Parts: sequence; C-alpha cells; structure tokens
Amino acid sequence: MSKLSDEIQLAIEELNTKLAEGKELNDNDMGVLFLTSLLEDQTE
Amino acid sequence: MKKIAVVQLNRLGDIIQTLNSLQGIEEKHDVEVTLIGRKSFLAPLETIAKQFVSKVSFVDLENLAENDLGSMLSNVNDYIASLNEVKFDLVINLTFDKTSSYLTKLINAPHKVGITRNTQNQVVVNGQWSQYVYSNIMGSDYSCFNLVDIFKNIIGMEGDPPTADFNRESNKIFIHPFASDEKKQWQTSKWVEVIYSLKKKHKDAIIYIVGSKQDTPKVELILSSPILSAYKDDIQVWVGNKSIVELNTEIQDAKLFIGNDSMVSHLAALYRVPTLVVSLGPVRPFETTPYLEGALSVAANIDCFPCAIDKKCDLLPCHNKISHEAVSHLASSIYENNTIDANSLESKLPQTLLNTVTINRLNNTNDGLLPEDLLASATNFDDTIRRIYRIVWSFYLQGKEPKLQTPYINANLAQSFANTLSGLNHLYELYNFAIKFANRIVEEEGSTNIDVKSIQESVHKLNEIDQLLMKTKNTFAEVSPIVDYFHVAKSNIDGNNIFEISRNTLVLFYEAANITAAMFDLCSKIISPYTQETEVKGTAHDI
Repeated sequence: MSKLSDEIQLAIEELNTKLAEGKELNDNDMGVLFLTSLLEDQTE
Repeated sequence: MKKIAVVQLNRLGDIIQTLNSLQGIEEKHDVEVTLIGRKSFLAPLETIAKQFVSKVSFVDLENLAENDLGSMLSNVNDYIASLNEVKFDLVINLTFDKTSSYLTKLINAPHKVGITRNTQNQVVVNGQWSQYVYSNIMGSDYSCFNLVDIFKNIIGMEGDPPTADFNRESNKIFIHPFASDEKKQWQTSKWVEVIYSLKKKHKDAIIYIVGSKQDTPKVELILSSPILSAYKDDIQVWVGNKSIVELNTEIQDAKLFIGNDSMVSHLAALYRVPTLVVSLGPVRPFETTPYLEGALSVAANIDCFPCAIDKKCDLLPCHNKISHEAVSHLASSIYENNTIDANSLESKLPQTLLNTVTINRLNNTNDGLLPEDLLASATNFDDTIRRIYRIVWSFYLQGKEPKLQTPYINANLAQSFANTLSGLNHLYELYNFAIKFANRIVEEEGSTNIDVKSIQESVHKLNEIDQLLMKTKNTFAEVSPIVDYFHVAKSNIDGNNIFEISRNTLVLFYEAANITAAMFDLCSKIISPYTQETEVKGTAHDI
C-alpha cells in the first residue's frame, strides 16, 4: 500500500507541476484524480 | 432515443430520493437513463432501481484495486471507456462531491449538469439549481427545498408530488427505530412505548420492526421490554434477516411507516405509504422529510435543532422534548385515518406535550413540497426565514409563486428581523455599487479609445465589493444564501473576454439586487405589525 501511496503522491505532484506550468489536464490526468478521490473516500 | 447518465454516488437514502425524482422520466421524455452509483450502495437497490431506470452502473473500487497505480489506472480507464460506449447525450451529477466531479468530467457528453471539472482542475457548477445546491445546501442553514424537489428541478422533471394513500386497507405498520448516527436515533425506551401504545389500541395491527444486522442488540432490547410480552406474536422482526428487495416488496401495501430519518422512510414514501418520521439531531425536515404530500415529521421545538452533523451533544435535548405520547397519537390517527390538525391535536394531547414539539406536514405549495407547521409553533428565526427564502428562490429559480402564507412572528422575532433588514440593506447597497462598476467596464466596450486604467480600477473595486460581501455575510449569517448563490453563479459565468464576462456579471448583480430587495420587502412586511406599535431598532431606510 505504501508503494501505491508513493506512486499516487508522485502522480499528484506531477499534475500540480503541470497546472503550475499553465498546461491543461487530459483524461488520463482526470483518471488519476478520480481514482485518488475514490481511495480517499474509502479511507474516510 | 436520448441517453442520460445520472451520477449518484451517495448512500442508500440519497439513491432512493434520486429514484423518486426520476419517476416516469423514461416514458415521459422517451429517454434511456443509466444510474451510476457506488457498488456498495447501489447494488443492494439494483432491483428497485430498475423499476425506475433502464440501466445501472456500479463504481466498484474493489474491481479497480490492483497493487500498482498503472494497473489501477488501466482499470479506471476501462470502466470509463465502457461508460462512454453508451454515447450519453447528457450527464446529470446529483452528488456534489469531489469524486463525482471527476467522474462527470470523464464521461463524454455534449451537455453536463451539476458539478464537474475544467481542464485546469477547477470546479465547474453547471445549471442554476446545481449552483443553488452547491451554495445553499452544502454548509448553509437556510435550505428551504425538499431534496427530491431539488433533484427534480436539476433534472427538469415536472409534475405534482405524490400524495400519501391514507385510505388503503392494511394492518401492517412498519417501524424503523434505528439510525446510523446516534444523534438521529430516538431512545429505545420511547419506541417501546410507541409500539405498546399502538398494539394496545389497534389489536389487529401487525408491527414490522426493520433494521440491519448491527441493529440486533437494539431490537433485542426493545423486545425484552415486559410491556411488549403480550404482543410478541404480532411483532415481526426484520432485523438483519431480510434483504432490501424483500423489504421493498412487503412495505408497498403498508398502512403506516414510522421511524427515524432513514433510507426506509424514503422507500415507504416511494409507495405512498403514510409516513411519520421523528426528526432528530442534524436532520433537516425542510430537506429530507420523505417526499410525500401528507408525510408528517415530529421535531423538538428548540433553538439548537437541527444541529450541525459534527456537533457533539451528550444531553440530546431534541430527543427528550419529543414525547412518546405525541408520536403514538399521530401514528394512531394515521392508522385510523383521522384528521390531524391543530384542533384535533390540542383536544387529544396536553398542551405541555405540544409546547415542546413542532409537527410538520408536507404540503404541496405549487412549487413542490414544504413543511406546514400544524401547531404554528415554530416561532424560531431560522424556520421563519427559510419560508421567506422559499418564496424568493421559487420565484427566481422556477418562476413560480408558492402557495404559502407570509409567516406570522412574535415581538421577539421582530427584533431579530429588524437586524436582518440592516444586513439586507448593506447587501443591496453593495450589489448596486457592483452594478455601477460592472457597468463602467461594459460601457468601455463601446468607446473608441478603451480606457484600460478605468477598467482596472473597476475590476479592483469589484474585488473590494466581493470582500465586503463576505464580511456582510459573516456579520449577518441569514443573508449568506444570497451572497453564496451569486458568488457561485459569478464564478461559473460564461464569457470569452472581459466585456462578455462583465455583461453577464452585470445581469447577475441586477438579479442579486432584486432578490435582496424582495427579501427586504418580505421581511419588512412580517415585522410591520410591530413597527407600527413600537420602534424596531435597526430598520434600514426603504430600498
């Protein structure tokens, strides 16, 4: 699970960098955010 | 045939309220609806859901789970691809949370209603009603519509609400005396008294106590009461031993449902079963009373009700203020199909018991269902202002005038409303300043030499006004529905350049000023009997 958490953290950081550079998010990026949000819901 | 995806990721009760709002949509509009929900909540309701919609789709995290992110994302992409094979014409998101906003973004459709995301990962709220929910339901105390009416308006469903079928021949009484949150669950001892009273009076009645497996200790406590020992043969225990589908079949012809605010109450309402709910803790009767004209809710007549979900409370005064005698009387009256009004209540119950409760009945007010305070006891500020907001929002969002009398208030409340008038007056002035500066930007568009500095100054002023609006809202909490709604609406305004945006924002500022003025007029009207006799401090000059 910690490996997965690290992978998710890294993916989110990449998305934040992308947004900071003024780039637009694509469907794959939205998929990461959807999945992350689903996992967050499960732990709440 | 057009295809619609409806996203409802919330719990069982929300799914049933969603199904209620979708009743007849496929036949009426010749559309095919796919209801998308979490597997853990939607799967137990699949059979019931398919009575209302053609298809259901499960968001199943267990199916998506893998050991590495790449595989999980691959599963997510497969799931989204399967949804997108349907080629939806419209996605309606009724969930209003982060997860659903991403899902709505990922589903391809030319039209989307509710919250979604843009490519900058910002929240986008499409549709006036969705903006109302986002601003007024999530975190506001002044929501004034039933959730099913809100869903119907978001979806665009019209038609009269269902009416409770009081005339049905049945001796089945369903009771759901449990709730997931202790604050929503009335004491077991009170339920024992209600069951005893019903059985004593109605020998023919069969009581069904329903609940889930984890409610077993509580139902054992109820059944162990000596006063129920004589009636055990007429009490069916459906706690943890029946499926929702079995419950769905059996509850349809019940004479009466009584319970805490829960999924079962909404299920009963789907079949027009006369319903009585005991509303406790954070339950908001305006929002979640089962959607049925004639449905009754009993709540404590106490200022702290309804409370915030996360507020701790050990004494639970809203539980203690509701007597089992009042609930038993109401249940018995429904069972016998007797009239329930202020006169009948006052003739059958001691005033001391009536003084501590608010008894609401859902009435059709032409714009949906609204609780009618049978004892006219809700002289609290929040309930009164909700009714005033109902008039204003119905007119603004639906173009309808609810069949609703202007609430009566006492002298103490008049002083509170005088304070509200000050807040509304501040708000009106601020929106008029906003109109002035938005107008300046719009006027620049037509000039031959565009004054950039003037535009920048106006934008700066509009930002200052935004801050002042927030300050006004913090000082006068009751004006927050207006401030919040127009803040959300403004954040979602269309426009490709500053002039288009300013033109559309200008319209919103006019609407905000008009709504504020309407609220001011209505509040002035209800305090007028007192302002004529005594000076009420704080009344602002006429708008």
